[in-house]
Amino acid sequence: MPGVTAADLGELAVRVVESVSPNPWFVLMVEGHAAEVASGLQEEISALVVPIGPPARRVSVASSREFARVARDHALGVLIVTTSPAFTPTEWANVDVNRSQFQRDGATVLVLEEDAAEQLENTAPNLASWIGGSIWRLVGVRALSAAETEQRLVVLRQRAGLSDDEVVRRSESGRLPPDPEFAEWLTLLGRGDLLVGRS
Amino acid sequence: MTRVAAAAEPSLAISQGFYVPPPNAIADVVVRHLEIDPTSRHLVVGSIGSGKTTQLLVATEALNALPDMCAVYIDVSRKQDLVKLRPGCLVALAGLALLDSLEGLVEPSPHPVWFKHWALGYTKDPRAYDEDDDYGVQVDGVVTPPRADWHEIAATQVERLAEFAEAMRASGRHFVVLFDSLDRTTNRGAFTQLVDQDIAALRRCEIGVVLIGPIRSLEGFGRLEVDRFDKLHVQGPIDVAQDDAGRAFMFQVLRARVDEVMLADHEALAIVAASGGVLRDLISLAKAAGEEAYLHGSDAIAMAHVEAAIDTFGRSMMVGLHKAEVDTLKHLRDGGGFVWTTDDDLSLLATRRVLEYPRRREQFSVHPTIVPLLDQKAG
Repeated sequence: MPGVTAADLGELAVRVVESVSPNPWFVLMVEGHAAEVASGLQEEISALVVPIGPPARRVSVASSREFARVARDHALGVLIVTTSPAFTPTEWANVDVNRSQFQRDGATVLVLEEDAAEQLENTAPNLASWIGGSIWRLVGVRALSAAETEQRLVVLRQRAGLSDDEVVRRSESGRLPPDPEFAEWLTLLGRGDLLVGRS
Repeated sequence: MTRVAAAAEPSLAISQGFYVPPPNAIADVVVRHLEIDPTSRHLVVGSIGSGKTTQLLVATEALNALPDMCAVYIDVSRKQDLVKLRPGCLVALAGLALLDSLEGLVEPSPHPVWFKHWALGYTKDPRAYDEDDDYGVQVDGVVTPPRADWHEIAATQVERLAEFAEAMRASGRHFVVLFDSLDRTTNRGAFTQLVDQDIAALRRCEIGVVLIGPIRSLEGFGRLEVDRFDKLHVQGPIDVAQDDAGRAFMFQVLRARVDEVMLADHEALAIVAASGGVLRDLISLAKAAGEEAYLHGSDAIAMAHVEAAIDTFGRSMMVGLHKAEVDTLKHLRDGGGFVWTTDDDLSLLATRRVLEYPRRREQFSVHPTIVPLLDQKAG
């Protein structure tokens, strides 16, 4: 069976943050340590999202009912969800039947072990149709090569019409808009320190 | 790319003017039938993501534009836990919606209050004497009247609903209710019971009904559920491979959301073909292609972005497939056909890995995004 497309946490975080349509859903398939991965993803996303917006939240759910309550209470912002071993195929089926209760405005990211992702696809076809092609397999975090970093910086410079120096200057003087692209830009320049305390 | 949102509320796309009427739109057909017979009952069945909700919303709007109609759309799963379906649910939901629509049109009476108590529950002191309680004992006579079809629903409440519907007709309008989301129920017994009881009761009240039901209603004993309705409407995927009108429709759906500067015709048609005619997949693929373009710093979607989106989509669809299912898909892809006999076969249809085109000679096809992946080894 062909594997799903690979992504590292940084790439997935960008995809989640840049996904502007209402109610986008993602699945990140992991081989163990789902809670730690979810925590890492939360950090990556938090570094990219607009600080004045709703924070990225991370929850673990044991039942469809608990999941529905979380979805209802946190309709905005990124919601990162892991499931406990008690979350059986029956729970996925219950989510599927009552899918409308899981409609949110913000993005929902399910961090799942492979067997849980398979259960979702096979027992929750209505939810799976929301997810569509947004299933990714986690690969270890790898640093971008110098060429890849430069390639991405060229894109960011062209899009904003600014130089690296100007972006750093604006950030230091507090004049840099809190957009995810600028956060990514500063990170690629090795100036992630400027992101701390931005608001 | 905010205009391409696969999981957004369909009502949003309609209000933003993105709705494109499909060929032979079910909404049009249903409205024409209800104009002729406002008490008729319609069952809509179709694959996931094929646009059933949109058709129901459009039909509701069209019915309400008629001077003698009052139509209400109800997303049942927003008001009722679908795992706990039981006879009377639809009667209760229809009644509550009807009472809202009747606001100010009926003489003050305790009946609406009692109906709402029955529908939504209420609190009472268990020690209090209740004049409503009937302490008498029923002694059956020699003559046994036939049991009403809706015998599992409180007869008094059905009569009250009939009374509310009559009040609506007295004001010059027929009441029609459109129930969404029941296609998602997997509790076959509960759904059958619901259809048996509630649809009969709504008929007694002379209320028109449109209901989206599970695809299982089309096979085996499910046919009995179909028989409870006057008309069955099947909403399958659009045939984008062999039907020019279908292809043109799907193309227009994309065009309504994305202009040719962002997505040229050639790339748009590739997305249409890869969607297999499933509306939600069309939108998902367009959105994914747009994200690929954005992440690569491009202002327009190139064929490479479309191909990446199709590949990722297909790989996602294959998650959870077992070897036997892959063999079935290969068999179908290679021209061997597909016979819907087992639960696994039904699962392939329900998960859209196999698409059913009701009006085509080769009725079944493998979803186009997974066709090229079937021979690939694990990776």
